[in-house]
Amino acid sequence: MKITEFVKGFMISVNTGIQHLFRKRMTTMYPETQNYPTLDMYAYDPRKGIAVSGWRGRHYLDMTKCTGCQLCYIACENISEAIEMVPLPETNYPQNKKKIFPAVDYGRCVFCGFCVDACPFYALYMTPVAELSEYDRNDLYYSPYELSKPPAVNPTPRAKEKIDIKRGVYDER
Amino acid sequence: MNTSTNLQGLPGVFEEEVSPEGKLRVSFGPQHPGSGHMRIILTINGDIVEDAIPDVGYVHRGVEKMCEYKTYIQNIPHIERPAIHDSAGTTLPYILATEKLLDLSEKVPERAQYIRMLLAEMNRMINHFYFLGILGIFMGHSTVTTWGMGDRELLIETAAMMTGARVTFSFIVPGGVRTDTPHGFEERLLKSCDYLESRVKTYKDYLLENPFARMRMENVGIIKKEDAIAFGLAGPTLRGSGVKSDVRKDEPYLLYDTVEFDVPSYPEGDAMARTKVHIEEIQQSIAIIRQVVGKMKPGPVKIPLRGQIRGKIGDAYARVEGARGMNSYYIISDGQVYPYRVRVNTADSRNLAIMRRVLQGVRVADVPVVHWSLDYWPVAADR
Amino acid sequence: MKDEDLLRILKDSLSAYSPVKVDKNRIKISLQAETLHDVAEKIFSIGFNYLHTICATDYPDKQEFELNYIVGSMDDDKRNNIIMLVTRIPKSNPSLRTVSDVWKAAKLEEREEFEMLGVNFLGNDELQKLYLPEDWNEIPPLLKEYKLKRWVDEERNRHGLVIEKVEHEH
Repeated sequence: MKITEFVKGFMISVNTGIQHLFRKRMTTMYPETQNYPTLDMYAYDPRKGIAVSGWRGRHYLDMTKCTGCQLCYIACENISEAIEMVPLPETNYPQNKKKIFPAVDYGRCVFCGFCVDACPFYALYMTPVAELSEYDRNDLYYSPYELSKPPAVNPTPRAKEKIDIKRGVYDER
Repeated sequence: MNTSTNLQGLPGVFEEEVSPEGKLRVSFGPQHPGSGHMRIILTINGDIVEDAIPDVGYVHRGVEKMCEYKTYIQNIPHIERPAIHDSAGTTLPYILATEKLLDLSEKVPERAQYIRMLLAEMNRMINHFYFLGILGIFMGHSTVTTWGMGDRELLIETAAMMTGARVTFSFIVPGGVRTDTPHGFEERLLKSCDYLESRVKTYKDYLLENPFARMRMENVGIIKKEDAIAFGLAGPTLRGSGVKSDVRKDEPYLLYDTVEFDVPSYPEGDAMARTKVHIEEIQQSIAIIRQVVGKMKPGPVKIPLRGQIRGKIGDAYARVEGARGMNSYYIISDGQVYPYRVRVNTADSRNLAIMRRVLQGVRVADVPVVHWSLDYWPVAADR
Repeated sequence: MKDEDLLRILKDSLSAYSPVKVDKNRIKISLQAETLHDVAEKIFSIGFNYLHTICATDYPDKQEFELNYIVGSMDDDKRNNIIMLVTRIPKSNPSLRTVSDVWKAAKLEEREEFEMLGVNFLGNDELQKLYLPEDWNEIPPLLKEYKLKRWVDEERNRHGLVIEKVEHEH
């Protein structure tokens, strides 16, 4: 490498670095701002055969629609075996004569969403809640009652992301 | 100098040792951040590597065996997990081969094919930014590391908007794709592409012009053109050795014959040439995405498949150009709901074949750069 | 190159082996294991210099291994063509001559098939373990005799549904 080439390349790269001093910070300040790409629920329309795009986080189970047909269990049993059918004798839903509902072990779930695609009764969805960390592994086991709680509305507002060629990608505060 | 492709000669229990001639044998990995989930047994003489035996298999998970015990749909989540940087490029050949077995190849809707192309190109860029990021770590160039990871994040979030997952999309299924593009997706994708195009110039200025980066990457790990073909290398490693080969051009799948793009290739065959190929490919992917978004028309995105999928009796072989090179699947079906045999052939396992030869003669400090520039990702290679 | 043109070339040089077009850009040649090496050299001289993969498959009812050599080309006009060489060898004597002297990439592929199915490639000097752990003492895992512990064939072809017993207390 010639010395002129060296100096020229050095100046170009230093100049590029200096320009970046005037850019906005790219970091998302978690958990003050949470930059979910989408806040929609992942759902599946069995009549059309297509899903509705959304974030594949923890499930939401509609117990008034679940018939206990076990199709979600069958879909999952070779993938991650996270879904178990749990008998709940105390429930009294007319459509669920067998009184069994799915429970999900999030220590195993891979969030592929094929259980939602398997449900023919609009009973299973996936919500944008993905922060599922627990101190105890057993707490990651969600019973049908826990799954049927509607997902908490995200309390922190979604950061407004700006994509700017000059100033970079940053959150508008 | 030993130039065979032999990878063996592995001791059961490895001990560092000094030979009477003063050669030192050291284990590079498997916990070393520069080696990934593998180790390279280096025999070094002073600062020069005389022999380098890759010891692989730390992350072998038996994907081929598992495929025989799962249905065609259930296979999708686990075959994409070995290659998390390129999950679309890894799933796509499996899906194409499955569609051949289901006689669906001609029936997949046009919009679904375009969405598949979008996802594949986004994934190619995600992989290439990751490549640049880790290359930065291996060279001690930490600025490029943070930039690469940051720019990758933009595309990951755009992909997650549509697919619902950040890296393991499970999005391409036999018959089409799982969802249509959500509201505002194309807009954000084009915006990201504009931004990333400006970043490509920054990388060129900062990495390719930088005299110190050039000193690290130029003339190290040279692969000759004949070797690249004979050892069956793939992807940017092949193109960095002067072979202008790309499955998207050679055997166009999806609708790649309707878009215009270049295949970048450099004849030098060193780590710098491979890095240049990666950066140029980001530009070409942006060009493809812009054309595809312009061509997309509203329409169905999936043929609904009812019930259990059964492949017809026979076999199918499909290949695509993944981010790190040619990925191909050979599936034999016996008419059951499970495949009879699935042969997974990833670009990473092909690039492993030349690793011993290419590492011989380089300096110890260059081993990480050469190793990473070969586009070898241990998890995808071990399968 | 179009399939028809390639078939014509192949029929000139390999008239004894009857190449068949099975799919777009896919040509299959079924042959005996003894002639495999000759055919490999011949298609290499035509320009098929880029080995994609070798796939060995176990057929327990026929007591045979099927070997599938999938070969492509890096010549400018043949990049879309793929030739599959298919041969069968008996399981009682699972050995045939290596092709690693024709395609260098074959060495690694053959080694993997040796490890996963026990096919012996004569002439390949590095048929040792690659991916499996050092203390692996069982039969090669891709043989159909080797069952994954839980998913045995009875379960594969079952018709009724089995509900697992639930042990969690909730």
